[in-house]
Amino acid sequence: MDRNLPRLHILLLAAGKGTRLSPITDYIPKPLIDVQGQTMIGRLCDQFSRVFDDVEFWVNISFFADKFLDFHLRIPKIIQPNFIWEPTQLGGASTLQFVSKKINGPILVLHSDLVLSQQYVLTIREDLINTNFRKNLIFCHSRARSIARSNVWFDRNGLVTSFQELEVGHVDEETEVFVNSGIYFFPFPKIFPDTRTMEGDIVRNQIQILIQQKSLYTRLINDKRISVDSVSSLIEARRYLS
Amino acid sequence: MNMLKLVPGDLWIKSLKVKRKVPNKAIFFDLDGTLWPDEGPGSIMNFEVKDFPNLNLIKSFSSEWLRVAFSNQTFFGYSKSTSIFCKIKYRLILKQLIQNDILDVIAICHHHPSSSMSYLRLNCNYRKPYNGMLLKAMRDFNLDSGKCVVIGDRITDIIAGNDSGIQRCFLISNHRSFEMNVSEYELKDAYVFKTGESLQSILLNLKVESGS
Repeated sequence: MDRNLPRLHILLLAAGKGTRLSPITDYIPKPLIDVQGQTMIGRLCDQFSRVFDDVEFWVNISFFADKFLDFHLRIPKIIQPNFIWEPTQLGGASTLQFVSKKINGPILVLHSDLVLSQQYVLTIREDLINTNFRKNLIFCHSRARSIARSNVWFDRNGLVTSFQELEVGHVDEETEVFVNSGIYFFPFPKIFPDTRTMEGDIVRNQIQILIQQKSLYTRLINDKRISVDSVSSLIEARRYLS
Repeated sequence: MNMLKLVPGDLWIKSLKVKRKVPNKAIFFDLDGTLWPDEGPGSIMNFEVKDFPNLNLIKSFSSEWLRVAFSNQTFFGYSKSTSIFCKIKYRLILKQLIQNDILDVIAICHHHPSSSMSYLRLNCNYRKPYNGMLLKAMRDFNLDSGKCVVIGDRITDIIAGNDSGIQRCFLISNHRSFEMNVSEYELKDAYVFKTGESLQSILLNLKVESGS
């Protein structure tokens, strides 16, 4: 592996309640659900630490914070994450702001309920190297617009021009569109304004700022990724990994 | 400056030995549940210094680190523990920790907002999660907060560490890690820490990281 890569900080968003997976998530946080012998968050730490030499993990926790303390026992000590305990849930945007004050370097942000193929992680690495770790990126996948809820529009250079979250139940023509995968890369996270008003999701805040600044680029990765946000997707993830 | 003023009930023991050179970095240890198992209020009384866990490991940090204990000890507020014998034994054990070169400094707050002893009934700024003990130690020994480390077994230790500007805090994971009663304390947005299953694992990792 290339030893000249900068240290990559990876923020895993894990403070949500996971209500869509209730009752499974009544007693265990969603990222710690076992999928074929490994927790989702543990698998992500494992995959990224194999691909990137110098990586530091940050995991924000709020609900079931105590359950996460056992989490480090299931992964190698060398990739012990920094836990960010939020007494009250901040939301992804504020958490990113908080972490950006602590670090000096590029950060990859991803939801901790993702199940990714190893090829997917390798492709992320290639994309980061190709852009020299200097471009704000939003990783997307391709879906039919009729089932896509967060369309990403971009120009021929991959520069994102708009990002739209469609209403649930929206039906449009069956054309392929780019959809947000819940994975973002920010080479200079300190650029985000330091205000307490930035609440809620990353998409609605930092992403919109970068689109206005014309500095957010999209990357399409169509390798296998599953966002475990429903029982059916959990079953799909278990099937995929079996 | 009022925050750093010692009030009756706070205890502060320093090593009588003159160190060759006082380092500018320190490891702040919690006592109950961290340096020895937490067996409820007054755990320290069940403890013999010769049986000290991780004795040699902690001693090995002697040359480069200042080892500071910071703890809330509220068992004096319980009538059963306030005999003269208890007080003598308690002080003796603490002094033995210093004399045996296990710790360099011991800072203890005996206050509790609902203590049965009136002179200890206080929610003082030394009591964790407040950061008075850490700030006083950093000021007295000219410590660099960026190089200091906090190791505790409860989130209140982490809160005190984070609020003192100490970047590296470690939480020993046990079933009491998130137990706290900080209703009168204004929590900040977020706190950062790493975890380890035991003091031994944390210290060993720390040695590897610091290359010592």
